[in-house]
Amino acid sequence: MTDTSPDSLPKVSVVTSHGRQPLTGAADERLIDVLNRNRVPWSAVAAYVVPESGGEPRLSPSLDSTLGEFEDASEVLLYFNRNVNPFNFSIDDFKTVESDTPGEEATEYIYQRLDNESGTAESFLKKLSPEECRQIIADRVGDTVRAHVPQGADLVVGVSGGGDSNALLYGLSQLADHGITVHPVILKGIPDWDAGVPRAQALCEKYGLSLTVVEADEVKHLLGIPADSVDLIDRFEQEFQGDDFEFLGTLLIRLALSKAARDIGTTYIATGVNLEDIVCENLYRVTTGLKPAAFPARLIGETTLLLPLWLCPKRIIDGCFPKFSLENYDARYPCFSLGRNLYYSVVYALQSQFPGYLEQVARGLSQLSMKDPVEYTYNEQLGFHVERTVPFPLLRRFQKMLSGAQPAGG
Amino acid sequence: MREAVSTAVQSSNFNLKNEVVDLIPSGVAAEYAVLGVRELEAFRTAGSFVPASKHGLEVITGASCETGAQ
Repeated sequence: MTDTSPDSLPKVSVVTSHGRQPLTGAADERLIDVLNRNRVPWSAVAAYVVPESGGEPRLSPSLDSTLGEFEDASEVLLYFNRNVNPFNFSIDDFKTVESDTPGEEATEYIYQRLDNESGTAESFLKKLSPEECRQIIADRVGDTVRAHVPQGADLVVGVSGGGDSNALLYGLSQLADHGITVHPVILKGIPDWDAGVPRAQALCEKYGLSLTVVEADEVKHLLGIPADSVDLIDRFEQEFQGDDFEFLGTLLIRLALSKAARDIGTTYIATGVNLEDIVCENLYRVTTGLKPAAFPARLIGETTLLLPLWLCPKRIIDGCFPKFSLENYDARYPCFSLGRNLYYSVVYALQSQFPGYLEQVARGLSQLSMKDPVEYTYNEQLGFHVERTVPFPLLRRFQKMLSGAQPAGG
Repeated sequence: MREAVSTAVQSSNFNLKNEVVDLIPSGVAAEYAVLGVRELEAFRTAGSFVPASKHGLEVITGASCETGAQ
């Protein structure tokens, strides 16, 4: 029977060029569990067992062994296979920074100050009140609009009644010095869009804005689907079972905003794509051989799509109007696309483990993308702009979903 | 905050791997700091990109590997 008393367990240490760091572990913990708990990447270590009976350490690939299962082992040395310090960016010893109104916090965010001179990282857990969240959003939105939209322009803004678009409207409402006229637009036609209309109307009234509601039949018309016919979401689920409606949703939003922009004579539209969204999109792109798509200002045909929340984390956006955010979470459908799940998962892992790094990824990709913007071409068969050649079988399925009707263009 | 080890003499660092260190924070002694939102946002959104080497040597040496894989 395996002796699982603490004294019988091997001492586990990570051996790095910066020192030998002991790790604690329980008898029933696998080696990989000990590594995960201490955020030491399993892919960076090689395990050597120091025999209790004496002799040289022996190489022992044993991520799946529990500490209690090691035999003749006084120590398990996990040699880190590169001379970097795996603990340098640990966020565990953060200092807390109170909100401006303690007791009324809406969220919290971890910031990390990196000092190249000393080679150190210092973490802070900042408690944020709704007002502080709104200040952050207003600053970031202001920076982006001033940099990419001419003074006095009309801006057609997609809203959903959810956290992102509500925060966007707030941010735009704080731009006193740029003369922008905001034209909010909301689409209907699927249950969670329809549910957002009352919230969006309330917010637009608060900011003195006139909300345009694109009714379900008008949304269908954007893709040439007849009114009083099968609903969009049913068509999508029938033809693209197991895929996610969000992909069609983003297209419809862009087409609706572009049409609204043409109707009022402007070329500027905006959506609430946030930090995680934009890095997710562009990690997908660069890891599949595509150059980053331009952001925060993307020219598609004659329309410029502006993404004013591109440097805003969702956590902080959701802290602006907490009640609306909760309603938004409750209205969600699950996402099943492997890719969308993968790319977002990578984004969250980077963001959580290395605070501030996601923002560097975003800023670097933004610079690359704006230097050499992706060009979009009008696809005659689809009636809107795309970047790449659409494979014929996919085109046929898409057209079948639309039942061969002619789209309104965008 | 963990201090970086001085690199003044490379050979004095060579034996570090055999010294027991305590680089994993333990215990939950709360510490507080006072920083404004805009100062924190500056770290997040306006800080300089972290160069690969401390002095940005990759500009000179980076053709073979920008991040110094020997």
